[in-house]
Amino acid sequence: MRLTVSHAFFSYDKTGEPLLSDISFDLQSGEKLAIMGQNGAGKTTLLRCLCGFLKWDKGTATIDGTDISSQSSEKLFKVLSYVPQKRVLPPDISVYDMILMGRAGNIGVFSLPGKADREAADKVIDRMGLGAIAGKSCMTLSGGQYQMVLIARAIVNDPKVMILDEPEANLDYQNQLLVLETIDRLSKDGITCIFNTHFPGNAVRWADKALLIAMDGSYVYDDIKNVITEENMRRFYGVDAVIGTIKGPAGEYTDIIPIQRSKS
Amino acid sequence: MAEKIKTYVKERPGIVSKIVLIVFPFAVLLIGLSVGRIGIGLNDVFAAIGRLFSGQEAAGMNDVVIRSMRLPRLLLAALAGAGLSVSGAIFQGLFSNPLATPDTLGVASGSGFGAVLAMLLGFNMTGIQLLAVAFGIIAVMLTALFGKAAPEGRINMVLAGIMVGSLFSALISLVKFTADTESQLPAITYWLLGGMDSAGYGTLLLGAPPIIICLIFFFLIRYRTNLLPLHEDEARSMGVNIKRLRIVCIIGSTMITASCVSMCGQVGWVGLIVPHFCRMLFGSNNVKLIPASISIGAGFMMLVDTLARTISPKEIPISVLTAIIGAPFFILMLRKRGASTFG
Repeated sequence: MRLTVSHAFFSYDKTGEPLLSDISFDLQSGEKLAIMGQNGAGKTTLLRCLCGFLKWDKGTATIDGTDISSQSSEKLFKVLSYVPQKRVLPPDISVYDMILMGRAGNIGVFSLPGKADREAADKVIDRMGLGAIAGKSCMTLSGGQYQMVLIARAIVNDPKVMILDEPEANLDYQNQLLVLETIDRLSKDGITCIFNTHFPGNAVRWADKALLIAMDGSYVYDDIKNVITEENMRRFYGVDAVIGTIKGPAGEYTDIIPIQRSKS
Repeated sequence: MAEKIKTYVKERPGIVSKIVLIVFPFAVLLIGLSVGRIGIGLNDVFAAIGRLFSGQEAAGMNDVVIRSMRLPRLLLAALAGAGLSVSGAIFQGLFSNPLATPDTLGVASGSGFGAVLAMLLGFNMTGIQLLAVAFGIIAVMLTALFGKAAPEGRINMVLAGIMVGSLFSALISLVKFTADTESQLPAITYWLLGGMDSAGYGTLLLGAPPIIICLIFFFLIRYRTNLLPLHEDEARSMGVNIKRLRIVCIIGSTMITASCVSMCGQVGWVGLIVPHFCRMLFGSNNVKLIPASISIGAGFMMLVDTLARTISPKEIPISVLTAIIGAPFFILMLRKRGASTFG
């Protein structure tokens, strides 16, 4: 699988400066891309363009050579899947039904889920280890558990690319790790994962590549180590930060600490 | 694999509940046919029904009472109960708001205005229905438009609905004000009180088909309607055309409401009480919720109507009874769900 975005532009105000300008990147199976930038820089917009919810003004995004925007959503979302930002109040339906809902596109308008759909949901529940909560209502879950359910729903059709909108936002340490470890595991199974995040520390630890967008539409895209630099933190976030390595029991870990807002 | 599914999901309703759901409305129907100013024993009820279905002439007083009074009335109650409950369940999904009902969204008032306007203009039953549907859709559109002004504002949706509802109530008053006091006003006022007593086979013949067609439609697409509360992007990422689904569901549930309103006036609260009661019993999956709402809605309404005409010598307007049950239930819902629901 190969996902290619080439020279893509997007703006909400078609007469003004584009929000996303000349974006190009290229991902292989199993790569993890973190999309970063300040609030309003266009992270979510980029994800929505990738899913075909918004149309590029110029440029293309292709999966294995097929243009995303030319595909019907029925076809596209068999290859690509989308994990929305979790909402404040999850619906009052069971985890099992929520995961099964990922198959809705395969189920006819006048039909009920069939054997194949139930088996697919079962397989995902096993794969994600959600058996213990499958019968519970989504309303009773913790934020991390609900995020896992949304991820499970997204992989029920065996997608090649998974796009996640701030998957670890509003979660405590343990639940953040639960979600990030899951993304890591799925990428090792060959699913390309694209997620946006407000935590450069999480990106540097869990992503292979990063795309950092500035408010003026410019961006850098490279291997994660080359993107998360003290200079880029100043340029893209207006923050003086230090980046260092910490020795742990199983090796060295890179982390980033924001010190202060840049003076200039 | 099949065994595993059983461990993951508890099947609700089970076989016993399913039988109860099927039997309940028919049991209430029999009670309704039997009870009243003239008591008719169950044996006689069965005999009368037998004669009716075998195409025999009415034999005696009991047959006349059942055929021309109680049966059409109960059928109307069953249709209105099932219809308003299902449209309530659908509206709650559409607006992802547990308090959305034909009443709180202003649809019932809008339809009421359409119907009253048609009466003022001297339209026949078909015209009344068409205008009721048209103004019902206008009302729900206005509510959606005003409520959307604040994103994710669920309380705003209900506030907008109340506003639109009172706007149309004011317009109804205006129509009454302009109506001819000799001929039109009494008819409009009487109709506005709501009730099943206007039921005749003529009314049913016109009002029932839209309700039945929409109920069958919602029953068939009940799995798909589970997607209604999802965020637009979320639903699209399932490979489903959510906009089309939403439009079809708005039209369908408004048609049900408008048809009910044009036949039996504004019977409030049913669209709130019944779907929530069913949710408590069977969960929120529409695969179960829609059939349960049809059954319990039909049975509940026939029961309330039977009460309305039997508990006091003078018939109590049915909307009074549903409000007496509905208002405390609404407050209970508010307390139970807490403020977070209205985020």
